Amino acid sequence: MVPVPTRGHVRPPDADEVARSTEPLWWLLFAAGGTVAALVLPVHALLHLALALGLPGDAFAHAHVARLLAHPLARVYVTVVVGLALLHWAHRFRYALAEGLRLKASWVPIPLACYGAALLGITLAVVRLFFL
Amino acid sequence: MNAGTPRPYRRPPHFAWWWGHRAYTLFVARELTSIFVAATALVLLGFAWTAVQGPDAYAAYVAVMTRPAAAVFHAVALVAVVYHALTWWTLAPRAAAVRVDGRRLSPRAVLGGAYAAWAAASAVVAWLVLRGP
Amino acid sequence: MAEPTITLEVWRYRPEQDTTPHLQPYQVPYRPHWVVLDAQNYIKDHLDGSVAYRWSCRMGVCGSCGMTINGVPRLSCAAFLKEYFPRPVRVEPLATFPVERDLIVDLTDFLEKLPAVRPWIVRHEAGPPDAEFRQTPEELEAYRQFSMCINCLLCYAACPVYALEPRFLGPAVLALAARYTLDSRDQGRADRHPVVAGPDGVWDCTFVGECTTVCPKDVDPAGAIQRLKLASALDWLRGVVLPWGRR
Repeated sequence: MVPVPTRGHVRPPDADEVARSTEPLWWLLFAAGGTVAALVLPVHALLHLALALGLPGDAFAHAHVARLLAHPLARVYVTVVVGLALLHWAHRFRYALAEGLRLKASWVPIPLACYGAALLGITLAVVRLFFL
Repeated sequence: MNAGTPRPYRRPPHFAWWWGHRAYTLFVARELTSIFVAATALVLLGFAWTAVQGPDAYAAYVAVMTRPAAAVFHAVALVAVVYHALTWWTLAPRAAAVRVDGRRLSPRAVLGGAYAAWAAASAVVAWLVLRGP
Repeated sequence: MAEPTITLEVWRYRPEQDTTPHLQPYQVPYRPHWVVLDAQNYIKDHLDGSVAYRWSCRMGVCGSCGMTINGVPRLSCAAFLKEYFPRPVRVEPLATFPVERDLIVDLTDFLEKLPAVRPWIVRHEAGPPDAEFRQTPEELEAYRQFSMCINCLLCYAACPVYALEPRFLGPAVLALAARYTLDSRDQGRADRHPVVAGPDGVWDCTFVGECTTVCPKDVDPAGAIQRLKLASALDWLRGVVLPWGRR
């Protein structure tokens, strides 16, 4: 391959560095999370508000909710929605934090804190909903 | 007086660069909706979590989630996640040149499809949750 | 009856005599068909020959006259005085670039970054012998929009990521990478990949979208970058799922 012509401070990354990069993974999760969040979180937020404003309580009675969640698909749904929403937040917040603090978004503590928090939330959700 | 080429004058970015211009302020607001995306998801998780724990845990959680302060939070969260959804449907499709039968779909057609999917998903979720005992 | 006038406040900086810049006001005749460039040329011809600025075609195709007009990155040949009259017009150098003198900015950073994405048709196999490459209208349409870039760099001035992180390759460079990668005659996608998908490439972009808003040629660099992100991400996914398929 012909070497990349560069001058000044442009540093051409080597192919391994790019292959090792996990940026595409986080971006794909961010994209999936953003789509899922856009599809269902508005209606969920509306339902939460409706409950707080006194929506007839039957739909939110424990018996009904517990029966809904007895179905494994319901637990999968909650885990997927919560998981992807948290990963979406983590990616966006990582860049917002970096921009706000004038740091590089690739400085390890920032993605570690953001994705770490999201993965922790997902782990706890999975344990609670599937194993306890 | 000058030894060689004078150094160019650098203007550092303004500290509050995002406040003066509407486009930048809306961008920051859009990014911060992600906090409410996470919060709404966690509220949802809370319902599932406490429901699985048992009636007492669930009742205590519902009591907290129906307080006036919580109602204000839900209202703000609703506005935020709707803003997320609206901006998402106009932005996300630009990552792909959507083609049907070799002709590129117009942005209006893509947006229409996105809104239809959004409405359908919302209707399904609402129906499943509100069906009652 | 006296001809109406409009005030131009021009950002001045002469390194041999100024330590700090300042805004210098000039009263210029107001003519509704004039653009800011016409007003600048009037200043240079009649009021103050020392003002330095770039311009050439005066019709929005050369990309020379980019500057910040009332806080917005614009081509001075495309900003009509009647959009601002009777308020004053503040003319400053293009944002995010170091200033050499008055309204002239140092574009070295962009010029150093552009070759890194190989903005030309890259071939690994010879083309058709004794003939030109043939391309259907659909194949042309796939990249045509991104080929309209005039390198005016208004997109860089509008990009907050570039303002905060000068190592970012930037909208125009990445849009041009997309222009060539999407060209049916090009075989250089893998060659460009390490730079496009590497640090300082597409992943620095947070899709503010202002680059597209200010672009005078409707190139839509933001759209180009998002498409590069998706293409890179799918390439990565394919590499993870089917590692034996890697070139």
